[in-house]
Amino acid sequence: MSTDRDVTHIVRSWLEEGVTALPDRVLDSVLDQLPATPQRRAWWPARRLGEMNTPLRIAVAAVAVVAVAAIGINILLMNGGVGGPPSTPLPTATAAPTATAAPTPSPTLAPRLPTGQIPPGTYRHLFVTYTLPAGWGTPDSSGTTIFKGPATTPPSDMALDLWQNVATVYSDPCHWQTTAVHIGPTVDNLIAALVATKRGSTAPPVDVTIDGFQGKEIDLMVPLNVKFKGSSKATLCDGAQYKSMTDAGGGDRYNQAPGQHDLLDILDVNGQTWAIDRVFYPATTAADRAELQAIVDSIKITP
Amino acid sequence: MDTELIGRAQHGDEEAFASLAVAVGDRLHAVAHRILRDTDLAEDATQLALLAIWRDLPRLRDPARFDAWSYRLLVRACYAEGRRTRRWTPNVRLLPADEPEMAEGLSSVVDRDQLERGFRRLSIDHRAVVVLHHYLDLPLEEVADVVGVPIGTVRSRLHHAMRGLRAALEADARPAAQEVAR
Repeated sequence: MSTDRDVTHIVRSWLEEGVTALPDRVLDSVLDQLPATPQRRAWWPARRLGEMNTPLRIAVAAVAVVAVAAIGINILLMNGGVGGPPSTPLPTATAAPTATAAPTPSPTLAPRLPTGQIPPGTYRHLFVTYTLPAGWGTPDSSGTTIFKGPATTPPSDMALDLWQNVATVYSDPCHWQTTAVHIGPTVDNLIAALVATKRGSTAPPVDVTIDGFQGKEIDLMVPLNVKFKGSSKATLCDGAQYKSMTDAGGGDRYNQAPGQHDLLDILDVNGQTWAIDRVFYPATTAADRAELQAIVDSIKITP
Repeated sequence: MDTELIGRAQHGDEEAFASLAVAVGDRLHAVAHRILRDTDLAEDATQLALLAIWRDLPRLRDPARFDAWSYRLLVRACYAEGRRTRRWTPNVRLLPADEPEMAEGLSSVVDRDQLERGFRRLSIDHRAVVVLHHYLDLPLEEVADVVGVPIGTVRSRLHHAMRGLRAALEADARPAAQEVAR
């Protein structure tokens, strides 16, 4: 009979044996992939607007208004001002390209998503190519998210996010530190895990096909009565965060506010589970929702 | 870890990241190999983890926490690899001629084989805790941070794992002894 100390000693000695060096070919392969692997910036930095005090929020909003006004005046001056010559038409599928038109090449040649405010056009973004109308932006070209409007604050803003191989779902997103569920690799595995979360779905999942790839669509909403942060520790979420899922690369989905929806189209793309996440709030207008839908309708999957 | 190097890599400096990957690659691979017990899976997991580190480095708020954070991504990559393929190597006893020098504390070839089989019976959750604590010497609080569970769960997993390994050493020894007796 071994003592606990003997077993620990044997296990430690055994663990000391074996492989330590990473083969050069593995390291070379990683380094070769860097140019095609965009870095993710901390997404939705504007989320912090909701955490600012009121005077600071007003100041930030004022700066944004001035910036938008300056850009607008600049555009007006470039186009001859109000009542001047008509502005260059936005490119359409049939319009001839002009020097000032935003790029709309064929999907296979679409440019990568630019940084900041995005001119309307067709772009490649991670595993999709899609066509965006005016008014969309991204914090940087390597992000996974695009959003409508100058910020992503509730109650009416919206965004579109892309996920590859979600690996963990939190059965209680408010208490995510103790409720991680590691899920299997299929669409059905992910759907089952999401349906079982405390967050819950607003309706049963339905079949969906995007660009010929089949999957399931599910609409999840952060409960209106959940409290991320506040004065009473007993009612707070873990870390004052509401975390619903994590992908295989360690990217986390933190929700921004009660009532926020994630309308997820989860697709089986050659054995990989990829998801397109439409993010909006109950107050998002029908017109904005239709715009979001049009973007999804334009998606071409590019594995 | 060189926080200046991490800072440069956070801003997309591929050369800085290459230096970082060289510095941490062996250590990550060693941990992955000990958790997964399979060379191919460990290489895949290490590659996955290094790419995840590159991709998410801008989100690392405190460069001083790089080591724990990188282990966190590695353990996740091990989960993903273990789940994705499940192509575990068969439970074949190693021939003595293939084995490395016997380490201090390992009483016999049989111990090593029993440990190998006992360890493979553990879930990756349990293996990760054993490796992080007994191979990397991380305190239990840090192990809890890396695997993202409360410290009580870490203690429980470690207790369960070590009990399983002890049982493997003892139970597997009995048939061997009987076989010798016959």
